[in-house]
Amino acid sequence: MEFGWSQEELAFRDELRAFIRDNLPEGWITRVPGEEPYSDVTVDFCRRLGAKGWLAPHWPKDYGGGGDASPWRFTILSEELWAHGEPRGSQYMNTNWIGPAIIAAGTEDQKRRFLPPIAAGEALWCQGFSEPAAGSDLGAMATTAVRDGDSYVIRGEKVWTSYAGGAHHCFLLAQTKSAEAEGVSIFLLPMSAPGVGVVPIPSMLDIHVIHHLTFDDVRVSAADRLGPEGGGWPIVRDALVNERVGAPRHIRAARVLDEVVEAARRAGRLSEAGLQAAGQARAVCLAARGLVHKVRQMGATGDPGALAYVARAAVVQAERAVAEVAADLAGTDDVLSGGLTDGEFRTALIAGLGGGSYEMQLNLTARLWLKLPKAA
Amino acid sequence: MDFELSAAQAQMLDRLDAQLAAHGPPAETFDAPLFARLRADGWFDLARGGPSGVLDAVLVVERLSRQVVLTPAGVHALVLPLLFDADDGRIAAIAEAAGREPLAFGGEAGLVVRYEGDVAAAYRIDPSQARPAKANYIYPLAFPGPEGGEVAARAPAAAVRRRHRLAVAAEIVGALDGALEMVTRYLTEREQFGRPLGAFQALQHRAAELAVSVEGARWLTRTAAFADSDEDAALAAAYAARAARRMAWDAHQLHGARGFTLAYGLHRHTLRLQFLSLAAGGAARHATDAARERWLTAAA
Repeated sequence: MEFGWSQEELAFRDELRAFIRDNLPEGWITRVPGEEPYSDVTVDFCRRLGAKGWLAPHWPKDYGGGGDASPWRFTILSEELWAHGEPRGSQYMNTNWIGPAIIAAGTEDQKRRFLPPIAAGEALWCQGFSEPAAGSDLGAMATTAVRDGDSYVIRGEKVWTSYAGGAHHCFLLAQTKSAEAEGVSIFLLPMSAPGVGVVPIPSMLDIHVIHHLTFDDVRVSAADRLGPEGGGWPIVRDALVNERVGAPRHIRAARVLDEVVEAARRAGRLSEAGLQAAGQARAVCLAARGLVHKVRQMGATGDPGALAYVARAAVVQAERAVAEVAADLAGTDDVLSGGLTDGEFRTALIAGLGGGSYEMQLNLTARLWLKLPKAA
Repeated sequence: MDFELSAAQAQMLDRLDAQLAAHGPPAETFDAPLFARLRADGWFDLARGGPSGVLDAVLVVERLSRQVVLTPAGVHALVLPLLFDADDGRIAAIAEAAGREPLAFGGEAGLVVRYEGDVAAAYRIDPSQARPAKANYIYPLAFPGPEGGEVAARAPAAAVRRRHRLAVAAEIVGALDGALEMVTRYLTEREQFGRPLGAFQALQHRAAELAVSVEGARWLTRTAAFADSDEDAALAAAYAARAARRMAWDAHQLHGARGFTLAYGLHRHTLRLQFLSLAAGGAARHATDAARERWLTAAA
């Protein structure tokens, strides 16, 4: 056990910081991750990252990755980018868990078709999980995929979907039923397929657009089904572990904390109580970081296990702690749109739900980490 | 960066476990013979050398606290190496300032470390002059006798406070582990309304949040020990002290009145946690000091 970065890792972080300085507009930190998922800035920045081999350093070389067995370069990448407002937009999701799910469960054909464009920064994805009657209870989803020869016909709807407006593909879950198996299957669905409808849902988030997707007899090739028919759950479960710890929200929160404390100090409203609350919030951010690092290492060497749920809960606590302090230190001008305090409030609300609600993380922590009995 | 114990660290902790097992259950109060043995075997000298010496010392303090071994291990393993090149042979206690505060192991101490402005000074004292304090927090507490006036050693106050905080945080992590294990077992075994308490979601969420703060305190304390920096130590102590307070409340709340009984033994962890949450300056001061270190030091 030791917690030092190697010379190589330190050099990588420095190189990355210089790259960010040279390639990102000033003040991007005030953006909230996902605020501009398909702006020119994001698309260009990802292409440049991809050209340097920095979008997917942790993937196998055969599919456009860097072949990096250590989890730390990708961890450093995510930390530095989140500390600068996460300019990858929706593409952090592609390299963090959609690609790894395809690497783990995809056919050779799927790996060749889908992975290199992600690693090059040319692909935009969204995830079709939640439905009107299936949020935390994902198993209650009603969208169906009915086999018809070499393809499936999809009917149903998905809601509150991030990034769908500009996405090329959807990582879609649907119920399948056949003589062999009944259950949830995953489809790598082109959003251009006839019958796919996308409408933004008006929301109070401002910083983040969510969508309503409809599937009106959408035909998808069986070659685009990921994993076995009816066997989607284990793939989704492993992918969600990456989603839970892949977005270092706590790093951005710690950066926002730095900014709001400094602003309060300059404005002469940094009280002793404010200072204490800020110190405590920073501790909560760094505790989350330690836990996420631990889970990253476990994931790289095997099964990250139930600690991933503990870590995600800690990340959510970090966002909320910082949002609280930001509000405590704020003046009324900090309610203006585009400000850090306003963005932190809204993104902390998202943190408690994205990747499964905070309460789901606690349920899973109780059951799988503490091994308490199943709730009645 | 490696979150797994190295072979040497695993061997070290196995050796400690074996030594504790050979000794048998630790005494209910200060275990003088066990402390003397651990000391003679060099368990409190780890922070004197090696790139991960401070972290190794923290791992040892955690482990001893988990087993409720009541000794001034934290002060000896983490603070004294800053003051003395070699073990000076006396038992040490640490105080916030000159005054009337009761000290853990103050009745056994032949040495008291005090903060005096920018320095911390170790004074020789006569343990036979100490007065026991009436307090019930598991650690033996006493008012130390008058100082002879002779300063045995000095070190910068900031460095001593940093290690003092790491010692408290490590001790908290061990006690948190002990308390959470009892909580989990109780929620699994105790049945009410025809099912285990642990099947009630309201209680599951309380226990899960405790688990988050225990794991958070563990990794924050260990990473802070490796960094051995003022800010990191203050942050770790701030987080650990809040986790300690939360556990003291919630472990008892989840146990019902059974948790109050001496026979059950939960108090051996929770009373220590409550004491530790206000040690070394306490949760609020840890947080404020960390904040000053990060945001005001450069500006001042």
